[in-house]
Amino acid sequence: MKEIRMYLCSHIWKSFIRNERWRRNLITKILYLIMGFYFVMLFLTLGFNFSSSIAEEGREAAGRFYEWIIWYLLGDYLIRCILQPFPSLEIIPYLRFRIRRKKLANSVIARTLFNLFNILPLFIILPFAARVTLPHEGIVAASLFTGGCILLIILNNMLALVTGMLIRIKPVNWLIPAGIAVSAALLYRMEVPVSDFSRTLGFSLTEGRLIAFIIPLGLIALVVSLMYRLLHQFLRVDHGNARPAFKHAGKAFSGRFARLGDTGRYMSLETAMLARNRRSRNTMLMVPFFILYAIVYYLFHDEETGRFTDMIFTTMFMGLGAMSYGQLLFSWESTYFDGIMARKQNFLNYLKAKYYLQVLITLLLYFPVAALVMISGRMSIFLVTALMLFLAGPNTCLAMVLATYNDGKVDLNAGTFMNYQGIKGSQFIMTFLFVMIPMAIFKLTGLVVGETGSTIVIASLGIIFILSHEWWLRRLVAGSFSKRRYRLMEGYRKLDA
Amino acid sequence: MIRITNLVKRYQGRTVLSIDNLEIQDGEIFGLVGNNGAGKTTLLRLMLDLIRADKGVVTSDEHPVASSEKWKDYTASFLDESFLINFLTPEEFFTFIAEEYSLGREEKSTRLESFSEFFNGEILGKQKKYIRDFSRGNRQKIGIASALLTGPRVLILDEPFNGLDPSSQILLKRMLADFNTEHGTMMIISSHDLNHITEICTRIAIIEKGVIIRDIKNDGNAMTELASYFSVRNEVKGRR
Repeated sequence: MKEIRMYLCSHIWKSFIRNERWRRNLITKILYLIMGFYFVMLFLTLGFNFSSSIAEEGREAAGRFYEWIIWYLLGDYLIRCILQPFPSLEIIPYLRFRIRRKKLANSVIARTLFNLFNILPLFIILPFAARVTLPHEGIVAASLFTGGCILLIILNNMLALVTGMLIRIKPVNWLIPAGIAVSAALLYRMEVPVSDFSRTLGFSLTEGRLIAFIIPLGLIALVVSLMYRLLHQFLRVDHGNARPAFKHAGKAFSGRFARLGDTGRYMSLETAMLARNRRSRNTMLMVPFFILYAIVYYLFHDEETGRFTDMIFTTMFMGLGAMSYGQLLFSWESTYFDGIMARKQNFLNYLKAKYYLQVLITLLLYFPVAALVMISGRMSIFLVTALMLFLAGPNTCLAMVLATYNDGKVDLNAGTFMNYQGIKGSQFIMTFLFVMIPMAIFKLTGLVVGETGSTIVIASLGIIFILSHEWWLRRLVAGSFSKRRYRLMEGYRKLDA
Repeated sequence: MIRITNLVKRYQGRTVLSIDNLEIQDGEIFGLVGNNGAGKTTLLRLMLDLIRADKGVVTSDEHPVASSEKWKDYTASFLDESFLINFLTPEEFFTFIAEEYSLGREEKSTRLESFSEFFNGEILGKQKKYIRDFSRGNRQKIGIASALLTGPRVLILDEPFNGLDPSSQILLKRMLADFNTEHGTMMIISSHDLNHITEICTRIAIIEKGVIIRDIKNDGNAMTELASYFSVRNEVKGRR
C-alpha cells in the first residue's frame, strides 16, 4: 500500500512537471518566471510592510487585525466556491486498478491542499507571527497563532470543496454559498458583533485556548468524513454525468441574433460556448467583478490619482471583459476546430461574429463605467467614450490579430483559477499593449494638440477602425489566420497543450 | 473526382506519407485499410486540408483543397470527436449544420427522419442532453449523421464503425450503400475491419508506412487478398 501511495505522489509530480505549459518558448518561460518572482516578492513585501506597521502599535493593533479573520474566511470561502478546482477528474485513470477507494479519496484530498488559496494567506500570517506575535508574546504564542490560522485555512478549503461537490451533485446547492453570502451581508448590516467574536478567536489562538483548536479540528474531521462519503459516490467514471441541457435554442440556431444571419448563427454558437462550458463561463463570470472594482475605485477611493492613472483604470474596466474573451478567441474552439475548418463556412462572417461579441462586451461595460465616471466627476465623459471607441476599434483589431498567433489548446471544462492553458506569449504582449497603446497615443498627441485634441484623435481612430472592420477583418485577421491555420490546427490537436 | 499527385507529409524529418498518384472517381466507395500508424488519418486530413502537405497537391473536382474552399460545398466528413461541437444538443448541432449548408427546415427534418432507425430513439426527442453527455457510440452516430445530413457528393469517414454496437454497424453499412446508390456519392472510408470494408467498398487500398502498396478492385475476392496480405505480414513478423 505504501508503494501505491508513492506511485500516486510521483504521478502528481510528473503530471505537474511534464505539463505542456513548460514546453513554451524561451520568452514565455522567462515571462512566467518574472511574473512568478514579481508576485512572490509583492506579497512578501506587502505582508512584511503590513506587519511592521502593526508591530509598532502593539497588542491593540493586533486585535484590530484579528477582527478581520472571520470576514476574511467568509470571503475566501465564497471565492473558493466559484474558482477553486476539484481534482477528482485526475483520479479517473486509477479507478480501473486494484487500489482501494479510500486511498484514492485520500489522494484527492491531499491534492486539494496544494493550491494557491491555501498558500496566499501565509504571506500575511507568517510575517504577522514573526513581526507582531513573536516579539510581544513569545515563540509559543507565535507558533500557536500560525498553527491555528493554518487549521482555519484547511477548514475553509474542505468546506469549499464539499460545497463544490454538493453543487456538482445538484446545482440547486448553489443556494448554500448564496445563503452564506446573504447571511454575511445581514450580519454586517444588523451590526452583529462578528468582529468582536473574530477578535476573541484571534486572541484565543495566540493564548492557546484549547477550544479555539478543538472546534476547527472537530469541524475538519466532520467535513472530511462527509467528503469521504461523497467521494465514495463521486469516484466513478460517470461522476460528472449529464446535467440537463439548457432549453433548445429554438427552431433557428441563431436565436436572438437571427437578424444578423450567418454572423448571428456564429454569435449564437459563441455565446452557447461561453455559457455552457466551465472555463469560459467562469472567465466571463469574472467580468461583473470589474464593475465592483470600478465602484470601489470611482466612489470610495478618495485619493487624488491623476488623469493618467484614471485613464489606465478606465481602459481596464471597460476592456478587460472583451480581452478575457478575445485573448483565446480561436483557442476556445480548439476542441472542435477541425470540424469548423472542414465544413463549408463563410469565414468573414465567422470573424465578424467574434468581433461583434467583443464590441458588445465592451459596450456592456461602458455604460456602468461611464455612469460611475459621471457620478464621481473624475474624468470627462467624452474621454471615456473616446476610450471605449478605441477599445472597440484598434484594440479589438490588435487582439484578433494576436489571437491568430495563439495555437494553445483550451480544455473548456477545466477550472479557471491559476489555469493558464492556452495563454501564450502573444497574450502577455496583448495585455500590455491593450492599455498602453491608447495611453501613448493620448500622451503624444496631447503634446501637440492638447487634451481635447488628443481625445478627438483617440475617438477618430476608434471610429475609423469600427467603420472599416470588414476591411481589416479580411486583410489583417483572415490574412494572418490563413498563413498560420495549419499551425493553429496542429496546436489545437495536442492532447495537453 | 479526387486526385492526389506527389503527396508527401513529413513529421520532424520523418516521412509519414508518400503517395505518387491516386485518383478516386465519383460514385466510388473507396476503402482504406492499414495497421495503426500506417497513415490513414493523415491522408484523410490532407484531403480535408486540415494539415499542410510538405509536397504535392490534392485536388477535388480540379479545385486544389489547400487554396480553394469550393470543395467544402459538396464535401462532408467525420474523422473524430473534434468534428462535434459537444456543448450543443444534437438538435442544435444538426440545425447549425443544416443552416450552414442552407437546408430548409422541412428538408432537415426529412433527412433526420431517415436516421431514426440508426438513432434508435436515443439521440433525438425528449432527452435534452449535450453531445458530450452521450455515450461514445451515440456520439459516433451523431457525427456520421451530421456528415450525411448535408447530402454530400463526397463523404469522408475515418473508422466509422468504431464504438457502434453490432446492429448499428449493420445498419450503417446499409445506410452508406443506399446513400451511394441514391446520390452517387463518392465515399472514402478508413477502417480496421476487413469484413465491413469488403462488404461495402468497390475499391480498397492497403496503406503501409504512408505508402499505398495495393489498390484492389473489389470484385468479390478482395477479402481473400486482404486476409492473405495481413496474415502473411504477421507470419513474417512472427518469424523475425
